[in-house]
Amino acid sequence: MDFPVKIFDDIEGSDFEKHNKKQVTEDFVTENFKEIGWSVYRPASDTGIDLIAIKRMCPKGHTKMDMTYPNDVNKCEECGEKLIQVKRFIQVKARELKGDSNGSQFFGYTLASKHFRTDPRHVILLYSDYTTEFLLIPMYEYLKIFHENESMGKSHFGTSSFRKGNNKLNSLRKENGHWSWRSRSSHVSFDEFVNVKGLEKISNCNYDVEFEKYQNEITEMKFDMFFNYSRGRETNEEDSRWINDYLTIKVKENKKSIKDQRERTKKRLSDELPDELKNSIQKYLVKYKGMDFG
Amino acid sequence: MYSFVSNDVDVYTLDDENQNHFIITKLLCSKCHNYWHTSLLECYLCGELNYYLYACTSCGKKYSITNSSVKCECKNPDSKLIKACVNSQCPSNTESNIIKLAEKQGGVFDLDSSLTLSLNYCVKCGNTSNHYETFKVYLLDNGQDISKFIEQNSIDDGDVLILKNKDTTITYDFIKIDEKNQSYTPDFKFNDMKSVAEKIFE
Repeated sequence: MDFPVKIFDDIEGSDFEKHNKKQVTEDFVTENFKEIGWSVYRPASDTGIDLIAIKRMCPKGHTKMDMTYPNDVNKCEECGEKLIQVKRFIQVKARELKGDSNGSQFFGYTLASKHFRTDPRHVILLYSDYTTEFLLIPMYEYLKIFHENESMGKSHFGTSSFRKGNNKLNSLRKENGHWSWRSRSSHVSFDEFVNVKGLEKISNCNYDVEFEKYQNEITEMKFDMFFNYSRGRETNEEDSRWINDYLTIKVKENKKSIKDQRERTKKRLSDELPDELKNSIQKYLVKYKGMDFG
Repeated sequence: MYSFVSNDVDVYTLDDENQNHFIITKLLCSKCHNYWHTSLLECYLCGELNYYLYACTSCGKKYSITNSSVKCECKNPDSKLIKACVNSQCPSNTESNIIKLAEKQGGVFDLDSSLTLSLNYCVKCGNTSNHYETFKVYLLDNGQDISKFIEQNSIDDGDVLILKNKDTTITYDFIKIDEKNQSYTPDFKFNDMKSVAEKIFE
């Protein structure tokens, strides 16, 4: 089975620049998923998730990648299990590969803290439009790779640029036909996420069947890496150590009692601030449901 | 569809000519089901939320961020207004080196600050996990045969049918398919789609 396939005969990925590639990229991804039986939904307004893909599958993993069940079939023909609706929330990052096409090329992309949910059905799709390859990475596996390789995790999630939301990642490389994360201290293969292999990864029904287990692990890994402070040039070694020691204690405490801390702060502000300022705060918070300051 | 968008619910449409439904989805707290706001920032150090205030670095007096040009009334020549964390116990307000680090960046909640993260703890209950709640939505006019519609459209458990009644005023009702029973009769208790949207995600 080939995946993805060249859908549009008349164009090449290289025909498009950053400013006009979004639509064609999402069309290309959409058509490829439709070809193998997924229903694909596109956002009616600008949201964080680019596509939602849904397919009925056997929860025991008996559904082949290019297989589609007729509407009146509700059970797996192999094991008799009731089919489940597998939903994947796909965030697409399309970038050109830069560098020497006969040597080492890199795929530069940015992911900020707001891009990391704890839903195991969330998928990152990196699309190298110059080579027509997909890297399909379930959120759980993405975080696991960086969690298992501490220096990679720290340079991705612990840096000031990650917290600022502008951490351009340039370590994902393609060399001699193979994808890997290559930095000064690490070299980890990403080949297992490419094309059909990646499709198999995101089609894993365990993310649906054992949702809570994967969600808990994602949350733990996320906290471990987000709160492992990397100082860069912004502080000295001593302050950096102090911040990490503080965060170790504070994050544990927050998991139990952040609600109380926030309520105390809110009450204090409510008691101390003049009405004019309280109204100003309310104007900003009105778009965040559950955070009224009235 | 736009009734959902106006209620901060994300709407997705099927990429197919034969679409007769759409998807509504929302990122929710997995414990209390409150909306999870990825654009809301919290302090990296203490987890406090952004209250959109300026604070004077000298006397601590708070100002609205819409008054960005004001100088603090304390008139201290060294004072600056910064988007500080409002938690008085936060190290950005108590530890001299961390205070300097935050001030240098215009305060914890300045746009260029490295001392914030997108929400990690639910604004309502403090829980740390979130998930997408998603429904396929079909719209029906009052009088359509619901059982026949379900049969003909391969409706799955969890899908939502919204029924619209056009009388002197327009009223709505909805049904989640897994809750359906044979005796279901719509009573059109909702006067607007906003209330329907809120109820579906409850």
